[in-house]
Amino acid sequence: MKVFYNLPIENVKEGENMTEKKDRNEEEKQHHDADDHHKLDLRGTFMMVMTIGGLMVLSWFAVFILFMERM
Amino acid sequence: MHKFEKIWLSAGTASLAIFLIIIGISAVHGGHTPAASGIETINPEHVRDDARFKEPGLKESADDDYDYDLYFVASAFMYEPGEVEIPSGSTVKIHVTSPDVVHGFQVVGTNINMIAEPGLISTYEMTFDEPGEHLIVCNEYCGVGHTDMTSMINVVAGGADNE
Repeated sequence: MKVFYNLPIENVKEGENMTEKKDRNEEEKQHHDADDHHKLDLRGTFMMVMTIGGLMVLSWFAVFILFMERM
Repeated sequence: MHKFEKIWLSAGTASLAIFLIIIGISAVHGGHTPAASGIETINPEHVRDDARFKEPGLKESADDDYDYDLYFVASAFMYEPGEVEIPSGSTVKIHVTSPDVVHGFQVVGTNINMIAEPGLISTYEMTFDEPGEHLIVCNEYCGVGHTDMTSMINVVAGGADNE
């Protein structure tokens, strides 16, 4: 005796199969709006980039000053 | 582009521009070019036949631009001379060559850091103002005795007992 289970599947539109749902999801991910970047929270990234960059600038000038003193 | 992205890209590009400008001005107007290595050539098999390197050491210069010429031969695994005294305040032009393999020539505590390459003579002019000792080390791996390859420059006040 065959048993069919009609389980609810999330996010699948009517008439759409699983493969079509997967293709639709991938297409939505690749679609970029012009204001996408402004939705990102980049505060932590910004602080780390500026901190590490600042360390690089400071060490560059420290070595340059040492070089000039030894001339 | 996010506001923060614009800021850090601008900061990075500005830093690079500033570094390049400082280095460029320093090189062109300050004469701070890489150590003049390899401008003059010498036959590495006949280094000891050259009058300058036959008895390496400190010699009074005939050139008005500096006081002394200091000739070094870097070979495996020693520098000749092993020790040299220089009067403080004198301007010295250092000439280094190698008859065998590539060696380094770094005078610790100064900006002198160059390669001694067979066939080429590396030179650097330096004024030694402060009395003290400066170790010379080889920082280019040259063989089993590389770590023991050292010499010494003693900058002494007043006259020098030259070797």
